[in-house]
Amino acid sequence: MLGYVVKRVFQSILSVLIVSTLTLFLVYSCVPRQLVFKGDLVLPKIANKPDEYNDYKFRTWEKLGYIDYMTQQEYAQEVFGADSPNVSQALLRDSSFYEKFRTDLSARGYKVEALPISGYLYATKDVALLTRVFRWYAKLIQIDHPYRIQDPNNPGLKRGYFLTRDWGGGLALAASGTIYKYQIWVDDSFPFFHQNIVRLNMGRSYPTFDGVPVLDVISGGQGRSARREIRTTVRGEEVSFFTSIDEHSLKYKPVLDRLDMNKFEDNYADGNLTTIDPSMLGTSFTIGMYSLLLSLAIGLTVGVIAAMKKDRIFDKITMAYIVFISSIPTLLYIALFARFGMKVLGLPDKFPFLGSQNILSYILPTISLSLGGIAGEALWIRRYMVDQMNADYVKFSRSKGLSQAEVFFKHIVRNALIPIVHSIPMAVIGTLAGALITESFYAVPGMGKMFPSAISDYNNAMIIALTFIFTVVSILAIFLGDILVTFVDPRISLAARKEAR
Amino acid sequence: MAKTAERFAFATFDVLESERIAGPRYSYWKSVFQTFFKRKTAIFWLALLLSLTLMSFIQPLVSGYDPAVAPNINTPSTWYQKPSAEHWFGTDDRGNDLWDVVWSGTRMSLSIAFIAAAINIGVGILVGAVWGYSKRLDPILLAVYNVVSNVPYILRSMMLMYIFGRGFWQMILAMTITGWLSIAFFIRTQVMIIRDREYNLASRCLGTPLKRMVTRNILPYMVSVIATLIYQEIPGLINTETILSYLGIGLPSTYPSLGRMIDVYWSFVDTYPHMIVFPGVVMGLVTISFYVVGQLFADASDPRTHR
Amino acid sequence: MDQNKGILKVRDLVVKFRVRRRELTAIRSVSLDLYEGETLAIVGESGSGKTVLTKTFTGMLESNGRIAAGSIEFEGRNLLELKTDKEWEKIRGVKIATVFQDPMTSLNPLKRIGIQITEVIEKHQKLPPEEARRIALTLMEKVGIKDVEKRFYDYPFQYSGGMRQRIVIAIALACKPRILICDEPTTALDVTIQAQILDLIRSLQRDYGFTTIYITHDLGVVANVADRVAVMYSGQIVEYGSVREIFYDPRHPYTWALISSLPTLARKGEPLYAIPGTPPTLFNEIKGDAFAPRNRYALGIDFEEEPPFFKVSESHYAKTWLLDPRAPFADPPHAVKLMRKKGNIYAEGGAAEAGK
Repeated sequence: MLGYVVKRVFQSILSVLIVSTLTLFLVYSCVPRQLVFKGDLVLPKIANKPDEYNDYKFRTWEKLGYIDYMTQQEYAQEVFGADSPNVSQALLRDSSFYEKFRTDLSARGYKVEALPISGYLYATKDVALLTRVFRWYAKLIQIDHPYRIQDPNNPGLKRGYFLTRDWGGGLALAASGTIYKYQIWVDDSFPFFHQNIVRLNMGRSYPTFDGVPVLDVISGGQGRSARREIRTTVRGEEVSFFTSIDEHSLKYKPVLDRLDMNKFEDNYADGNLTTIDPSMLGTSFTIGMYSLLLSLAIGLTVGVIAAMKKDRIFDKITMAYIVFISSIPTLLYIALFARFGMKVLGLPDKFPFLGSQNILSYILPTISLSLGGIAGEALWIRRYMVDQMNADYVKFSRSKGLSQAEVFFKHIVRNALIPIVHSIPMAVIGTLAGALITESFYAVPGMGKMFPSAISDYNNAMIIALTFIFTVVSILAIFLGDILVTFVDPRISLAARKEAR
Repeated sequence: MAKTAERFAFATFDVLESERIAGPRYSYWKSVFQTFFKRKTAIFWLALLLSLTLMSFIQPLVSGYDPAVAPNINTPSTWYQKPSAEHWFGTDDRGNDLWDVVWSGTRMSLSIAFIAAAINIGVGILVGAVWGYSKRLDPILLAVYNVVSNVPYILRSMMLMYIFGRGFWQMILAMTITGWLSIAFFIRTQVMIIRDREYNLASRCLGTPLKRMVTRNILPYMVSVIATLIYQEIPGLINTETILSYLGIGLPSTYPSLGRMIDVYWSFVDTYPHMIVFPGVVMGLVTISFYVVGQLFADASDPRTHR
Repeated sequence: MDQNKGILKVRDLVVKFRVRRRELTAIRSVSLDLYEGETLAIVGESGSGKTVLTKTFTGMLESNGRIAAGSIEFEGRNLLELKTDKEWEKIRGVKIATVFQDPMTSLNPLKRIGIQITEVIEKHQKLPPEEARRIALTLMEKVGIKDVEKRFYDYPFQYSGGMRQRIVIAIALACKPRILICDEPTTALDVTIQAQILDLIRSLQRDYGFTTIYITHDLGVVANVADRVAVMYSGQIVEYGSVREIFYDPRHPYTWALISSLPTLARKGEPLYAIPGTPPTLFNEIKGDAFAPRNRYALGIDFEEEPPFFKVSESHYAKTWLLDPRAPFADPPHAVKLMRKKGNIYAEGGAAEAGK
């Protein structure tokens, strides 16, 4: 069994790596880099200032990892030191530094050009595709440790771990010398156990959410910031203040201002804001999870009843529903259902009408998302049940004198559920795919809506990160499904155990 | 009593008579069509399917509708008209006749679905057949399949649309570049199942030539399988097209399409519901009729249903 | 045998099926008596209606089948008057149990062996689980399972085919039924296992005193286990009698053909005998004797009029015009003559046991 699990974990990681590498290659090689500016708001404003325009473009590309970029001034600072007077000398029109820049950077493989107006030189070098992909992975996993912060202005920074209580009074493992103050903590929000030691870095969002790490965009809260009153002790003094800072996200801040000093005893004063709305990840997770449970609960029940009443009116209605849902475009039945939900049930057909705090906002998106799943589960369980009904063991059970109901619930349902357990990963993947359109339709601020927006905005980092997350979820679902099956099917679990021996 | 004597005499034994199998002669295709057309629902949906398909390929030729040209854009009196004798489906927010718009959109969606389905199914069957027979190819293709199928199809298509850019052929490319893989996998499994059935092993032992094996033993089973693929693939691809176009990453705005129609007209759903109802109904009927006809045909082409 | 009292009495049973809007007559007026404690074998080709006939005893016909006429009397009541499943559940498994052909598929693959035995006991005898378990363990021992405490918790896939059939038999006997129907119980098993299973059923029959019906097309099995034999063809019983009468003195040409096709009776150098042709389709009305088109001994009348049963002895009847006094002499095939000769030798030697 253990051997099997290890093998499957390995396979899963490999799959994730292959998919994300492929995505990286395709996005970096096939999407013209000029397109990333389509959603940029700064560029149109400086279109009549060619120097700035050029500089901005190259800086952005450098930020996105397409090129390496060096200006004459930067090189001068590199050569003479940042504050040297030679730097401004080097920029004078007849300086010999022009020639030096040209030869030095050409030697490094850069292409040297002059700005159209000022005539200052700049150099660019394309980052090779492989290098770019390699860099993405190289900075993907960030591990925090007490020697992470090296601040020359703060040589006395303490280093090490200690146990503490956070503002809410919960126990936490905190540290100093690390980037994040809180390393491990427990609270009442899913998944209850949190950590900051290992963090994934998938680059920064651009042009939307410009500069914010994409994973923060996805997993950070949304909406207005939420202020609350905090009572704590700072340097032995009881203080109380209103803040919206999320203390668990506190990071090292090199220079503290007065306000910070009032709230914090150490240099960890740079935190994200807590917000009233859940993150994209959280919103999608809530809707996806409930809709998955809904499709399983309703779909399986309906399918079982349909199989019991095969060819009767209930079965026929079920089949008609299945054909309807499987044939017509998803968009159409979501639109139909949204109209029904709004006109008949009086529910909002756009999420932001009532917002994330109102449970009514979630109802239509969740049910819409489960409509397809219900059809799928009902179809398959009905098919498996009907297959099982003709099995010899069912005839034998009947001849043993068991009633139809006993045979059904004690024998058939369990046998028919095994392939269904197998298909749960597919249901998860279906929910994931469905979220792309459902969330867009209902304007739900989740990952499913983010993906098409990221595509329209040419937000490469976001696209890659979302593909990565979706793939991980799918693969995790398949992996868990395979493990789950070994628990419900004695034939497989025993075979697997034997194999592992 | 000569009669009695005759009755109690041994009758002549007729070997042929004893071998006579009571069933009528069996012809596969004849049985398929007989079984199919026996159902009134099948005839109804087939007629609907054919008329919708013909309509959507002929009507746009007559109307010459082009979304890039809106001749009535400056004549507000022609906008938002309710269905009438002149405009059967009414007009839209730019004064276009919805009847024209809907059929051009259907034609576009159907064209994409047909071409992409032809490629997916064609390549899928070819690769799948080889895959099912080749033991050397199996692990390689299986590994590829396992990786690709981890990413939901719609996500893959969106990703590929992003990479190729928006457009008609780009969309077909996005739909087909990985779309054939799941079909090939399906065919591979079917081929493996049918290939190893006892009657095929027996047939092989008796020296039946491969061609006859394929045409007589395997193909009749595959007809049903392929019909199943087609009836799921075409509505599926129409679905993909509408999603991509609706999300604004599919066809550019110069193309008419059902998905774009829903996207553009949805804002009028409260004020001018006819702008949503007609495209929706046509879209629903087209996909349902494909699905139902396909399903009934797949049933009819399964030799086990023949009698 | 005549001192035995009848336990099951079938009269003029007609079973019809609806298959794709056409009606098929699977059982065409069958009458049959089953005597307490005996072993009756029903033989015939596939599709002759053996299984359908016995399914009517437990009300287990497929949903498209119906009993069009006749009666089945059991314990003083007509089983065909049972309407609801609830009434049938007091018969099935309790009074009349069935063992099916394929032990590999007769057990639920996902339930522990023990549970599959105890669920019948708990249901029909209304015993607490602990008591049911004790009975199940005894039963498992009885059918020859070793290490029962452990194997009680095993799953079917951990059992071999022969072992599974033993379990199936244990389940069938769990409520001490009066009749055990064995539908080709050994066909799916290894030849070496076959004999063990047959012996097991025979010894259990001695202990429990139930009546057995064997459905088989294997005449070897018939000779081994049966007291009486009924030969079925195209939904009818065409000949019945004691096992000795059927083997040593068969009268119906179909029985002749069956015996002739026994490989052990074939003459060296001659091809094995096979009955020519195929059985008639049951969709159409059959005129005359159903076997006539395949019968080398068919008379003119066979094609026109259905023969009645002719009495051969008190216990032996055959449904063939050849027994009519007006019929010409029919010289039976070599194999049948061989069997007759064997029978006479045994009879003279006083050896009563029927053998091959």
